[in-house]
Amino acid sequence: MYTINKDVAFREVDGSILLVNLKSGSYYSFNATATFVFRLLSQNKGISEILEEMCRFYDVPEETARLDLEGCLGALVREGIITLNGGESDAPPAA
Amino acid sequence: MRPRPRECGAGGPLTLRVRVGPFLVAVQADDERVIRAIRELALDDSAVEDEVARIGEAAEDDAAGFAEAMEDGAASSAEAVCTLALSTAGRADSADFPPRESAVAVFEDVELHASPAKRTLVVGRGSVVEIDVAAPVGRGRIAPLHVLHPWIVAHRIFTLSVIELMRGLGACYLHAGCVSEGEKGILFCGASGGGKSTLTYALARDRFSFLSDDGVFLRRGPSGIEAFSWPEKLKLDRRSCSFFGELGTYADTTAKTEIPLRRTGIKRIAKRAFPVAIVVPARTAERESAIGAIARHDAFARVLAQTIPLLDSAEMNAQLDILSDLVAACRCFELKAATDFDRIPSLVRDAVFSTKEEAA
Repeated sequence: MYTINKDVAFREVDGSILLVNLKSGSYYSFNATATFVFRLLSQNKGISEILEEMCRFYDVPEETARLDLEGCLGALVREGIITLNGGESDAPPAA
Repeated sequence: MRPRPRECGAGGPLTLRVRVGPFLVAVQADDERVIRAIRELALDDSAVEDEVARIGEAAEDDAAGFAEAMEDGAASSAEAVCTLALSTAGRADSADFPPRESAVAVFEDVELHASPAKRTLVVGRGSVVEIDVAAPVGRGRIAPLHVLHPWIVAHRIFTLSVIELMRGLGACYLHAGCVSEGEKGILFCGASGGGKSTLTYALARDRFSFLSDDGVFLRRGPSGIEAFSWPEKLKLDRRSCSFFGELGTYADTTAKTEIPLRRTGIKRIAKRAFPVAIVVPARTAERESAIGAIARHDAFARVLAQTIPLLDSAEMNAQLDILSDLVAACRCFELKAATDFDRIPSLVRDAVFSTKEEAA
């Protein structure tokens, strides 16, 4: 399960998320995909659910959605915005 | 004629009242040079009130007694009075300062340390101001070397202390220029060197009222987000001064210059306004300036980048609430500014106060 780090604060303005990382002092403006994923993470959705929503909303094959999701999650982890916790496997399910 | 501050030792500490929007900051100092440095920072006399006062019976650390002594007919019109006591006696030892690594924010030679009830500003590892945020009250010890440099006293010790005092009163600081027409404010928000001060002045010398060319405080009031300022002297570099005939004298200077009010073309000063527009300046090589709407989230990103260092999650969220309400209440624009400063005020006025639908 990915959780949002408590050192971040964010707001959604006109459909885009703007986020501040208090620890690093960095500011982020998310693109549409990152906003979509982050919004679901903030609702405590698991990876399987997010993947399903992406396929449905963007009308793309699962493989395409998984690649985008992995890229997005990797970036959020690298920037210290989310953390992968233990527990259920959070790797997007294989095809 | 107002009494001038007098030398310490002739009767007691020296005091100065500084109006910051609806609030009053009562400054107490034991050295006239500290008072003078702060007075020199003010755009005009309406923001500061000299007071030759002897605190007398009030104990040195009786901040409540000091505040009470400062309240009279003038001060009672303020929503709140906060006090800042600055001493040049008794050298602060480096052992008195928190370790630099524990600072929550560092800006050049200034460190900001924070605990739940207190903020500590350490300037140049020689001066320190401790601010009780709940009161809010500030007490500082200024190093002798800093007293010799009025710029440090005014721009580092005093201004940054006021920012923390205002934070204690629920106001957040935004690095932005601001003018107003009636109660309606226009914020020029952007990084240093982007043209905020020049554009703010161009409008203020037209028919807009001047709040600040560098920073305003924002807070949530009953009528929405309010901006207020303590008008400091206008600061323009020589290239900017060269565009305005009345500032010709300052076009020969080598650095940004603080320009007294009487030398400017500013016609009116305002201390409070309700922002209705955010304008993000951008330079252009075109001959004519142009203004166009931008998306609110673009404007929000720019505004966010111009807020002061953040302390903790609760404060950051409170600040984000104010900023997102500000952006929601404003029309947002980008102004690609050329050097046609005689035309820019009407360009901005027409865009901001037009009744056309804002482009997404």
